[in-house]
Amino acid sequence: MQVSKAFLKILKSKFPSAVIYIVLFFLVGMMMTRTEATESAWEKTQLKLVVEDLDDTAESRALAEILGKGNKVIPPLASEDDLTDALYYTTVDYAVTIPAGFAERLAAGETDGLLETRHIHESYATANMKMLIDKFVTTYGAYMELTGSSQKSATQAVRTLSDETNVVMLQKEESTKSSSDLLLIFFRYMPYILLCVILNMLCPALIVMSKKDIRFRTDCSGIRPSSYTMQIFTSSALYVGAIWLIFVIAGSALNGVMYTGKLWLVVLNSLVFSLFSGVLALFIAEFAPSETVVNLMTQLCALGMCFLCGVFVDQALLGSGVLGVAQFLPAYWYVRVIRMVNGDIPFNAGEAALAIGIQAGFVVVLILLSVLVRRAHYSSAPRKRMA
Amino acid sequence: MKPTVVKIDNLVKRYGELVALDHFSLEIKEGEIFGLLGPNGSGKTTTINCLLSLLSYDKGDIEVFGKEMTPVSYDTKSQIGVIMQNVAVIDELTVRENIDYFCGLYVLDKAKRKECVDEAIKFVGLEEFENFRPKKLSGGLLRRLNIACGIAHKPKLIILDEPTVAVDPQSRNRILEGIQELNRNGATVIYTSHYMEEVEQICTRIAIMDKGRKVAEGTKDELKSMIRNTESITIEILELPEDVRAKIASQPHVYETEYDGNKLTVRCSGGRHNLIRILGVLQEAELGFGRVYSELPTLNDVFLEITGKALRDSKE
Repeated sequence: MQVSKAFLKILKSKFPSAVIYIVLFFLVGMMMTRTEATESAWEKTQLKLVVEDLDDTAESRALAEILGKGNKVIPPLASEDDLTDALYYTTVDYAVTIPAGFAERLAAGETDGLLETRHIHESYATANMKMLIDKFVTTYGAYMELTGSSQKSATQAVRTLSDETNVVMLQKEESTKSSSDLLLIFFRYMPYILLCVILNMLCPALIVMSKKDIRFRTDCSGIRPSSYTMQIFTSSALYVGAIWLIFVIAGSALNGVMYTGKLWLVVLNSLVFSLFSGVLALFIAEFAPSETVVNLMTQLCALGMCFLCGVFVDQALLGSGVLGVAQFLPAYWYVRVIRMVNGDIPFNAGEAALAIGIQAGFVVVLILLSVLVRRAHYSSAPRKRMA
Repeated sequence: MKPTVVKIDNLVKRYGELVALDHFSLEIKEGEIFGLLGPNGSGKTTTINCLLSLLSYDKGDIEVFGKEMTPVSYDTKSQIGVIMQNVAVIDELTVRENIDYFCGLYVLDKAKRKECVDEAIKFVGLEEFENFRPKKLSGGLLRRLNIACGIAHKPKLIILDEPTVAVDPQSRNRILEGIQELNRNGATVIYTSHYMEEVEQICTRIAIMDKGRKVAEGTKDELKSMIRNTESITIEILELPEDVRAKIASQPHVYETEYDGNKLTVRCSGGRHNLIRILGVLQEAELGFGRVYSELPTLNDVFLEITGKALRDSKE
């Protein structure tokens, strides 16, 4: 086990670079899960609004009523300076002054310069406020055309614009507890970190062992190539297993969930993907690139695969063309299992098994390719070409 | 008669049109320090690679310890120690861990291995540096570590391929002394180099290679006796009239003179008092001269006479 021992020591020396990824992932993962957890507590943004009605007509009161709905109405301030200060210190977000003669100008069909508005910070809510004023003016105008009565038009406009769209947060079908949902989010992002940690550590260690001079010295020794390869494969598998275990335990600990039922499927899914990451590292290392190239390839594989396959962006939001390409990558099938367990798509045990099986297929194919490349690179050529 | 350790018979190795080894044969006996001397590209490393079955070859036979050498001759390989020109150590491991790793490829018993590693560290004088990483070592210490990794398992046959390239004189002497000590301890050594002084200093028998062929073989004295040159006399002289040069050339045992404008080289074959006679001619002609050297023939002279070019001038 001499090769294994040395290989694990080399891996140990590369571990600090992996720690950065792991810590970052846990931090970002925790933030993401907390963000997703608060998504259901949706509420409409309220503006702190000052409406000064200098016209005091049915129309101006109707407009003040519309603007006040859903916003926090603050009584008019004593002076212009006070209002400027309030806007600056954001105790007031939006100020509307309805000047005298507003109703007359509105009834005459004027639309420009009807009101004086002030705000400092541009936001979605302030833009919405402008739209609401425009809507009142056009709705009022439409009713004036129909009824010819300013009083009726103001009342109708208030009624029409008060009919708010009812926003309801639809809850997903409860297949697991909410903390399990958080765990599934953790697992959804896992391919990226697995690829980064495994490729960034395993590849450089493998490259060290494959350096021409080191390999030459090893080939000169009495060790059989099969024994050497087996020791490298076993140590790599041990490392991949350890990394996977850290994440599985951390996932459970951080989210306070024990693995039960379908969650075991997610665990198995992550194990197969970890193995894929391991054999991908073996395959890349066979070409013995430099550490810079390894870093580049890690980012290319990890980011490329995660974006294409729906790790970062939900598969439901990806185009059919992208998903068509993604099907040829194992992360697609990994995410598919997560989505099934999460209830995003109907759960089907056979389909889940197939998705994990396809990932296992990628593992087998890459192992075979790695062995082929290794043989082509390192096998000692036959003794004589012609006797 | 001592048994044969290495036998190479009619080895031919081609790289496309280039013939790297051209019917090369060799026999090395137990206890020898056998020198393979030749310029870069003469086929020394190719010979070693074929000998270790790391390289295929087109024709010929190789036997090591009386057994045919093949890529799967693991028992034979376990009795060979290899120290190559490039330092082959793992930067992530310490000095001790490196020696332990490479020794462990041969010696599986942990206690025995520890003993071997301790001895190897002591042998190359790296006791103070055993917990250092290779990157912290100087070039000379790194070479010593390279050697320790190759000999820790106490091989019966040690192959050293230019182990002193880019090494300071102090480390070089230590390495050469170490090789002689390994030989005294019973190891047969194959030493390849293009430094003739080193080969001359430590090798008991030498084969000179050029363009994949063995051009001469024997002890250093045998090799030197193969050539006409027995003494080279060099005199610094600023002006040398043609008649004086002709008179020097006509002296007994002088067979060649060479003058490059400020240095006269006279090559003699046999005879005694050649220097006195030549200086006598110069004094008679009342010519002033500077420093005078008289050198016995070197392996470079042997190579020069056999191949028509100097060892050091040869380029790969």
